[in-house]
Amino acid sequence: MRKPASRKTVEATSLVTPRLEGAQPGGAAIVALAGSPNVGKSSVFNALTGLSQHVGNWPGKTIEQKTGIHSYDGKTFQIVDLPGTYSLTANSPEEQIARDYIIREHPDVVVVVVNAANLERTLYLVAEALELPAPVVVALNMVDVAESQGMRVEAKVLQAALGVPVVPMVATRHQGLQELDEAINQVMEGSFPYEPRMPELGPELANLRGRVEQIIGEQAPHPYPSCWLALKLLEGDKEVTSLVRAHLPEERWQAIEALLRQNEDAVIAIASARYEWIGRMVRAALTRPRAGVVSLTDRLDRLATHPYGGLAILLGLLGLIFWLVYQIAEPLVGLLEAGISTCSRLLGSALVGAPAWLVGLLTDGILGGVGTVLSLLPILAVFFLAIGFLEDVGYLARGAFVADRFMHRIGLHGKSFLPLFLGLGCNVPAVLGSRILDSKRDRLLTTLLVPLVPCAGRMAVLTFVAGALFGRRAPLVILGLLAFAAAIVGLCGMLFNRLLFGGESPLFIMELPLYHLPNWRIIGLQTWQRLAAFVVRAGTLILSVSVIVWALAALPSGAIEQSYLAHLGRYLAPLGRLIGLDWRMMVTLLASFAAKEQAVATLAILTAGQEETLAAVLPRMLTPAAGVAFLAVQMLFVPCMATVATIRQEAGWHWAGFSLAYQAVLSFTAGIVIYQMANLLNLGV
Amino acid sequence: MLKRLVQLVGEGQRPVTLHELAGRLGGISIGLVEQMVEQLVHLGYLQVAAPRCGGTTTCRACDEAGTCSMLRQPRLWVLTDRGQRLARASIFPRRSERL
Repeated sequence: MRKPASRKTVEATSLVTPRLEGAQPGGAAIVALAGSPNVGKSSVFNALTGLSQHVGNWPGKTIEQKTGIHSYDGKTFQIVDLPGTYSLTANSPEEQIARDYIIREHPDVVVVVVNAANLERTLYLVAEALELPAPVVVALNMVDVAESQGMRVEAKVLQAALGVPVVPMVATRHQGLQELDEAINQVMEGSFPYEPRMPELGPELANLRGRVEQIIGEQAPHPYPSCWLALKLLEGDKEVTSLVRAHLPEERWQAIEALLRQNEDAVIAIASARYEWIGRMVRAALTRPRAGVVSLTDRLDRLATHPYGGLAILLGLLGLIFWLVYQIAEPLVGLLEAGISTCSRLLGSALVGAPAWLVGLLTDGILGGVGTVLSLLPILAVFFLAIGFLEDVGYLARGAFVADRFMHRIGLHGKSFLPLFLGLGCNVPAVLGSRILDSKRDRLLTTLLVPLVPCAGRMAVLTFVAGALFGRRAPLVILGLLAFAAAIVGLCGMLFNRLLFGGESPLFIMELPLYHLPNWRIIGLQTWQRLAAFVVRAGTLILSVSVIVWALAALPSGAIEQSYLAHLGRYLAPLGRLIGLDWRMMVTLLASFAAKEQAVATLAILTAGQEETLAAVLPRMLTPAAGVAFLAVQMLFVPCMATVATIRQEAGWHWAGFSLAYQAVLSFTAGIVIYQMANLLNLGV
Repeated sequence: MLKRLVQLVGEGQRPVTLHELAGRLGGISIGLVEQMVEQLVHLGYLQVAAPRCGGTTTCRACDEAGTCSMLRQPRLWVLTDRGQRLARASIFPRRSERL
């Protein structure tokens, strides 16, 4: 049996010397209170000390120090509340204070408060406290919370397994205080059979620790026990390493350093021993009546994260989103288009007598261009609401997780997932998000792939055009395009990874949030912010480019077929013919470089002067085969100006140029292949 | 147990969730897995992946600038070089086991 040690004289260099004013020198036993955050340590401290508290700071630190007096059975205890810590490895000032206090001040008893409702997590501190030279009493707090969650901790069993007193408590209701007092008293008097069962290190690790301890020998800095120093050295504890190095002769230190270098992963084995010890304690003492009952999250996740079932759900939900977009948004888009057309006519009538260029600019350039882009608002609203909903209820992370399983196979770094995920909203933050990747190779690979993820603006254009061309079949066309984009991202990732960069990508762990009811306020706010950003862009960048496009389409004679834009378009016509697109569609693609939504504005300007809306005109401009080819090109076409500027900022001009070039080649190649295949097979031509 | 966790991350052909790890480590709680993951981060075997795109002038061009703070992005942890070495050592213990 280990006899509780008496308090020793504190070294002059001690940083922490808790002396409560008014305490009887030598008369009050010191009881240190340790515990992780949220275990109810403060409740235990308050219950023990009541009003007799003294609050100050730990010497030399800005961390609050609380001490107090507690009397029991004619004895006085000085209670010292140590900072809340999860471990005693000196990772933080709090941890350093707690462990230095226990080692240097050597309290008569250390009460470690653990949370019965989160026993596994809070036992790590107990494992470390048992390795320190002070007797431990475990205060098993919050047993009521554990019971309310269907858990029961057998305090007697835990006590037998730990070999130290375990006192069940509900500190907030002052339950168990008497028993805690008794346990502290018994340990101090030596009447408790104190036989702590510490984590077992295993023969090899114990041997290694023994060798380090042997080298330290009698030269361990006071008051640190050499066995504890040896353990901490193997754990790579920086503070202990500096301390031992400063105290040992050089040849001894070099011998230790050589051992540490050869066993740099010993820290893992030591921590593993503690976790296995925790596992044994929990298996012995914790009863979970609900064990085996699968939670709703578990049940949903079995399907949602299944490699194939999860993919089917993801595709099903995407299909549902686009079905909703067409069911809810399309009719509203039609109404808005009709409204804009009427406004345009009314404006034309009101401007009778005004210069023709002014009428054209206002009706065709501004109302036709910007107005048509604004008619995309319902599509974006439904899309943003649906994505916001899936994000808020916790599904989107699952969908991305399922998709990433496939992405990983193409050599993408695990961290690439986040930027690609962000790319669904806007490619600019996605490119910036690639900064999370540490190696230049991974950053570049991700940066080059991000623009292939269709952003909301690109999706709005695709949804509008597909709706106009394919009617009820549009959701299927969009789903097919998304699958095509995913395949292209995979193919490009694989090619870039093999040809440009090389190397393998590390795997990762992901936290899946719990499913919960949607917070409509947050979803609404997100949708509002995103729509506001879209409207601002329509009123600034898209307005400016629309005016330029209109001017180029009107000058020099006012006839569009003789305009500067038509000249430019005709240079592109040979390439367009391979895809089934006339010069207007090619110019539309070029204009989308300014902003993806600009494609719709440009189409509206170039088809101005007709009685019908753009949605009605489009089927006459494109055969189904040419329509699919156009959609594929638009899906993969060069990133917008803002994205290119961001790529230049992050990776330099040459990679921004490369991104533009490869996406231009890729998109037109895809368009040509689709159109020519359709021609060969006589499909939709 | 930590070694096993690193091995589980490194040996698969796909990412793993905290939930899966808890199950494959013998049905321990998610909280304990999180604690182990945090410890592995501190020890340099895992690395937290968190987006760092704020504070640049490019935010002005970003559609998500207004919603950035509202995004609920999942937390990710990736094996570091040291973690990958340990994972390989765990898979082939005869070659690298030193303890």
